[in-house]
Formats: sequence, structure tokens, C-alpha cells
Amino acid sequence: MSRVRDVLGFLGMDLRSALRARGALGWVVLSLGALALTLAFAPGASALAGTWFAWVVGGLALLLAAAGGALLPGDRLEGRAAWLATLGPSAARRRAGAALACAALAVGGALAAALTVGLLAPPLHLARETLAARSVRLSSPLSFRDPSAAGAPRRVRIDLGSALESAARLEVETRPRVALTGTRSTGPVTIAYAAGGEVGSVEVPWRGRLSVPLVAGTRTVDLDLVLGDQDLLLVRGWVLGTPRPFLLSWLWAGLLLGLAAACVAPLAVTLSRVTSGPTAAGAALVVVLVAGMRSVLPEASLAAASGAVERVARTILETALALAPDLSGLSAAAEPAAGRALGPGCLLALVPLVPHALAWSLLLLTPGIGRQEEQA
Amino acid sequence: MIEARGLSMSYGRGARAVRALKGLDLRVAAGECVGLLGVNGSGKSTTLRLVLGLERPSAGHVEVLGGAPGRRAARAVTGYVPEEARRFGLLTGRETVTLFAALQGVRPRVERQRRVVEALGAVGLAQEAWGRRVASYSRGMARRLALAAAWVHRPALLVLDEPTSGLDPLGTEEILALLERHRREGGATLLSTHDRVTAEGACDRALVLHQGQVRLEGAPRALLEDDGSASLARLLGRVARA
Repeated sequence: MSRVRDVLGFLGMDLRSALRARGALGWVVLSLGALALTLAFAPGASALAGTWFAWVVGGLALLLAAAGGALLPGDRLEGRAAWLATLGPSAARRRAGAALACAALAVGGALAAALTVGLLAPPLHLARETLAARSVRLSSPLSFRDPSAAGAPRRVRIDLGSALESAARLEVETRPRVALTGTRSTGPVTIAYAAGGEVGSVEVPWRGRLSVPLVAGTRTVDLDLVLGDQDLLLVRGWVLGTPRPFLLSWLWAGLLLGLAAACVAPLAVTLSRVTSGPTAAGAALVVVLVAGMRSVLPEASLAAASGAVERVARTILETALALAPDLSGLSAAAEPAAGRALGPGCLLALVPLVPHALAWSLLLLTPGIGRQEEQA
Repeated sequence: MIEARGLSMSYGRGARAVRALKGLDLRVAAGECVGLLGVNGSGKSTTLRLVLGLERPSAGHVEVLGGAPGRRAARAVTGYVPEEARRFGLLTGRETVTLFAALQGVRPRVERQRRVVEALGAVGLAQEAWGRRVASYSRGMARRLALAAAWVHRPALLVLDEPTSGLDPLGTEEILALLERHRREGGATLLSTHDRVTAEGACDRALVLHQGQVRLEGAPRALLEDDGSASLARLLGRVARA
């Protein structure tokens, strides 16, 4: 119990100091400016730029978490480390307090940003309707042409999993499939649908979203390409239901981004045990940058397969990938901007980050070897 | 309370090594105040750091409260005032002392608040300053605050690095009164100072250090009278030239 009290004591000290620091006001101004950009770059009428929101809020939260790398070096530089080392609590508790303070700042900052956007968007007519969304598992075929039959048209059937209890809407994200058909047309595509006894057709942009109205009791949806020589690839699908509070979805998105950023705090504080503040914060940001490029770097490392220098480069890339957290689930933070409501389930996207955060937390708590380091 | 034998400390290695302490013997009993006197670089601060467990001696042995210095049991009953005390500039004076009280295990909250008020009052810090940030404190105010933070959990041992430096005569008197109270309650004190008033007013015994060795030892007043020096500065200067 005293361990928790000690950690909370250090947490309170760091939070007070961070919120009263001269730079805190600058942070607020910078954050508000960045959020204003999020609102200003709305792509269409009555819509928010979802990608911008996730990037801006995630970036701000990440910077706050990485700033944790400056706390222990600050203690050492300003002589607090030696003073604190003469008190009862161990150095490990001091480090845990620093990491928690930065995690709390990251989560608090992200939630504050989400709250700001969530409150400002409706009066500025930039809010959009967010609907309860359930992901639909898409299975083969996922395109309208059969490659084994020289690209002949074929029907796509989407199984909704269970019969709908009330009227809803099916939304499917589509991408053009150029290589298969060699098409030159980039105009809208007409898709005929049959769902629960209802039939009709919808026109979808070549790269965009297909939206089909569904009646209660619908279990499957059949889709056929009506006109044109194009083909579309079905990427992801959702069943959209009743409206949900706009602000709540933004807050879930903010919490998701804040908690993800908070997972970086133990890394930054651990690195700062042996480096300066800027180095630790910078290294933590580089690790996150590598994590963001997770889908690209494996190909890059394969490209550098021959030659000694290339092998070293490949090893470095692979090591960086192994150390980097898995941020792939964070794309969920953009869902509210696309009109899909978020709930507590979105936090499952944090599961891949947990091993990373736990590993760095353990390193954070291991005793130091030298006395000088132990003071921090 | 403190028992040190043959304490030596070197910084650096080989030809560049600087020997800060050379075989120091030191004993501080409960209810006793011992002062370390000496010019800059004589080994006073190094001795304090070894007693606090912030450094490990190159040779010799030091025990605090019957065990190794710096272990948790020793830290919990030790109060330390560093030479520069304005370390928590963004906290208020009251928050700083409350933090130290909490980290040193003063509970419950009501008792902690009572002790904080008592400690701040005992060091004579003006009440209007309690809610101000430490960054706005004068050097003397910061020293009073540091002593309040060191004493708030009623430690068995106080280790003070020049506790009255930068204080006016009234401030010095208040600090000496607090040290006297600490001694009456059975606490031990090890301090370093350049100030004659502090040495004479607080210390039962003083060790005059020069180049890491004890050159003189005894009651401060007796040391000055035996030497015939009118001031502590002259005594230290004479020891340095000897």
C-alpha cells in the first residue's frame, strides 16, 4: 500500500510541475491551433476530417507521453535526484511516478482535445451523425469479376451473420481494382442489390462507400455490378443502426488515442535512465515512427537482402520492428469522423500494445547498477 | 547513530584521481550535534554524501543507525537539507513540505497536515509565503523551507549542508532553536557550516577538515579560544596554511 502512496506522491508532484510549467500555456495554444486545423480541413459539408483528428490528437498525446523522457534527467540536472534519493521511497517508485504522470498527461490531453472538438463541432455545423456500427465479416469473393473466368462478372453475397432486428444500413468501403480489368473508366459504378426481399440499385464512386438500405429480418445481401467495365474490391463492411451521441464517440476515440500514447511513457522514462531528456524523448518518438511504418518496413528490409551493408541495414530494420509497438488497431479512432459510433469495445485495439508497455515497465522498475543512476 | 572508520573517497581513477577524504573517523551519538568545518574542497560535502548513502566510500566503513547508509530503514528516519534548496520551484512551500511528509510516511492525512503547519511555523517561514511557489523564495526562505521538509517527519538524524547559509540573524536564531529542539528530543545532527554562530550555537563538537583529513576536533568555542582566532574564517585559514 505504501508503494502505491509513494508512486501517487511522485505522480502528484510531476503533474503539478508539468501543469504549472511555463511551456504549459504554449502547449494549450498549440493544441487549440492544431484542433482548429482539424475543424477547418473538413472535407465536405457538415463533416469532420477524421484522419486529421486522429493524427492531431494522437500526435499531441504522443508528445506529452514522450516528454516523460525529460523528467528524470531534469531531476538530475536540477539536483532533485540526490535530494529525493535520501527519502524513504526507492528510485523505482520515483520512475514509476514519472511514467504514470506522463501517461496521465497523455490521456488527459487526448480526452481534453476530443472534448473540445466534440463540443465545438455541433455549433459550427461540422458535426456528423454517428450511428451504432457493427463490423461485417467479408468473405470471398470480394470483387465483382472472376479472375479464373477471364474476368467474367459474378455476384457478391454478404452474410450479415444474424437476421437484423430492426431497419439498418449496410455500408461497404470499396477500392478500384485496376490490374485485373485494365479499365480506363474512372466514373461512378452502378451496383444492383437484393436484401431481405428489397431490390434496387445504387451508384457508388470508383473509390468510396457503397450504402444499401436494409429492412428488419435481412440476413444476406446480394450485390451485382450493373454497368461499366470496372471492378471494385470490397475492403470493409459495417451494419449501421440507430444514432448514438456524437460527443461520446469522440471521447472514446480520444481515450483510445490517449491510452495508446500512454503506453509509450514507460519506454521514454526507461530510456531516460541512461540518456538525456531530449535523447530519450526523441528515441521514443522514433520507435513510434517505426511502429507507424510497420506495414512498409518489412518490404524495405527484404529489398535490402544482398551485400554486407544491406544485411546490416536489414537487421537494423528488423530489430526496430521487433521493438516497435503495434499501433495498427488505432485506425478505429477515425471511425466517428466516418459516422460510425465507438464504444468501450474500441479499447480492445490496445491489446497488442500491452506486451510492449509491460516489457518497458519491467525495465523501468529494475534496480540500477551504478549509484549515480540509482539516484534517478 | 553514525559510526565511520577510516573513511576514504576518491573521485576519478589513476593519476587523475582526486582524494576527497583520507581516513576520516566520525561518530555522532543520539542527542548530539556534530559540525564539519573547513574551507571549500576540504571534504565536508563528501562526508555528508557518504553518510546519506549517495556515494560509496573507496575505503573504510560507515554505519548509520546500525546498518549500511542509504538503505530504506535509514532513509526513512533521516532528514537532509542540501546546499541548494530551491529544487521544487513549481510547487508551493506548503506542497513541498506536504510531499516530503507523505513520502516519509507521515499518516494519516490530518496528522500530516498538522505536522506540515508545525514544521513551517518552527522554521519561521512567514505564513503568507506558504502558498507561494518556491521559485519566488529568497535563498534564506528556501533554506527555512528545506529544513521544514527535512524535519517534518521528526527524523532521528538530520544531515544539513550549510543550513544557515543566506539567513539573516533572526533566521539563524530560529534554525538554531529548531536544532536545539531536535537535540532535546534525542535526535542526532551532522552539519557542515562556515558560520561561527551556527557552529557555536548548534554543535556540541566540531571537526575541522582540510584536504580530506581531520585537523582539529573539539567543542567549537574551545577550538576558537585555544587557537586565539577572533573568527572562524581565521581559524580555517590557519588550519589550511598549517
